[in-house]
Amino acid sequence: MTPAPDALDCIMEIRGISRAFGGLMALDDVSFKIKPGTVHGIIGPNGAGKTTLFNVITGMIPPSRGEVLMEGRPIPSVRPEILTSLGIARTFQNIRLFKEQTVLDNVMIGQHIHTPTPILSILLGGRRAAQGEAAARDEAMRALRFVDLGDKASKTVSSLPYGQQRLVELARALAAKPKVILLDEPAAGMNPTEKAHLIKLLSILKEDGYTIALIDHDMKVVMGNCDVITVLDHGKKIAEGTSESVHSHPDVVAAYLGKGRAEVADA
Amino acid sequence: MKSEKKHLIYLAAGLLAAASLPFVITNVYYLHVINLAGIYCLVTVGLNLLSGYTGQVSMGHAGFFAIGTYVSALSALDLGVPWLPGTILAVLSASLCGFVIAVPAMKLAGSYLVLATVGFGEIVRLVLVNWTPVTKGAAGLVGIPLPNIFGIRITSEGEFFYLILVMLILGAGIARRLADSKIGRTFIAIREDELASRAMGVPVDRYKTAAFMISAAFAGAAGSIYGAFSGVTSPDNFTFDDSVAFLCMSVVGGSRTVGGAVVGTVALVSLTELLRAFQAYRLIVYGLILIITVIYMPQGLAGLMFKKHTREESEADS
Repeated sequence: MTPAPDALDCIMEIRGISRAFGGLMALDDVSFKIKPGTVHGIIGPNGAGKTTLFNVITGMIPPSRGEVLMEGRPIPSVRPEILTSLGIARTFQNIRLFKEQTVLDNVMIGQHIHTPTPILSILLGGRRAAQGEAAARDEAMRALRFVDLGDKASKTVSSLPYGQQRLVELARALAAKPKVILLDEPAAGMNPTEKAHLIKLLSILKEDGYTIALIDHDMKVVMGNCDVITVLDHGKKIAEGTSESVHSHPDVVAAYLGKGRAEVADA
Repeated sequence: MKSEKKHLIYLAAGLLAAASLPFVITNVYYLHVINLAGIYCLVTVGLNLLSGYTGQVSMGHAGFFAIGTYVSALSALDLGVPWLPGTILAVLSASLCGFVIAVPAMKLAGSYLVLATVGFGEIVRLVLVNWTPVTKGAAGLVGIPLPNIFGIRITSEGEFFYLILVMLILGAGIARRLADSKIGRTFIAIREDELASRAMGVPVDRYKTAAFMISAAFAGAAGSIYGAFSGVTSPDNFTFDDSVAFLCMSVVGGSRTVGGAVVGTVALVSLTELLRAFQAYRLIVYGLILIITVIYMPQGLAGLMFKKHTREESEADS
């Protein structure tokens, strides 16, 4: 159905997504495309519908209308467990790690679909199980070293500071070998040093060919690093473009700083 | 590597000590209690995989235990099936029931799931009481044959002890292998955050079903030996109180380890025996211990015992 050339310049397409919570339109006919190999920012004031959009994309909640296409194929809604096999991995706004597990185990869960589960070999303590575990551990360690947490592998997640927990979530998402990584406020709660580190990691990931979609309030994170920015306000897309064009867009300024007194009087 | 060797030595010493028990304890009554504890251990080891690891709390495990007991006993009494194949039947039947209860369990969480498992346990008990033509109703079954395994007849308490020990070692071994594998890791992830597990590609429903089936299988195997060991059985042995007792054993010992199940079961069964005179107050005592455990040692007795050990390890790491 979808023409092939389109697939080249668009890895993920959000097509006419609406989502109502009771009478509130959290998302109202939002459409945009995410190009492969780009960092795509989604910004907007509180309550703009950013996280709702992520939750719709990742199948956590079904849209009222519209669909999301990954490489031209619609993503079935309300089945988050198949996301990673489509090549999508996400992090959460309020860190959702497996708190009582070690950092390494957390990241190994990220590879769930890529590792075998040889039940018989597990029960008999066989070689296949041991090799599978060793391979999974190596892979997870690679992701952890990438985020500079290799030395924290055996620590329990809940013992790590907040900023590092965010990085563990990133490592867990990377372990799923995704094409598209969805980051929900990855810099929230990070100090300036950690933020700089995160920004560096994101630019490396981009160079490595990952597509990144990120939500953030932090203008430093978004403006300096996103190739394209989509601005949401009250569930509607109000602007899209490069950081410069979005930055000076009158609707965006109005959404963030409030409308002029005259306009309010008019309305 | 070093700690692994140390573990093996501990394990060997523990096994040797366990195997020599019948020589040390000559009192048949004590041996009987130990055997019962061993059977209960098998149930709680399975319960830990479900409740401790996967976080799906079951208050209906007496139901799976009952199914194991009755399937094995009835197939021996009515069809003349020997004990070992009877045990396999018991394991399969209990597992099947685990599958059936897992279907609603997938939609339920927390206290709702607990209530559903309570309901399951009660349904099993009521079926046993009322399906008189098959289960002989409240009167129960008598004359359950003794196990005869490839010509080896298990008759005395001492012989039962070794049979139960073998089953427990096998069961605990299987549980440990599962717990330490990708499967155990995934179970824990589901307990810690179901949604995040899903988002990382874990087929949560399938793993929950597996946890129920595995856990029920343990209870089924335990039930099979329980019937043959007791010789008689009735629905009274599988009440809600028993389900609660299993859960207490699991929590008191430490539900998040395999060893915890054994520690907790041995501790509570011993305590019950010590307080035999206050039998009527058993559940009150259990309740008190449970509260103390939850507040002061959330990792259970096993957590308390191994705490120092793990701290040493983590210090050595850093």
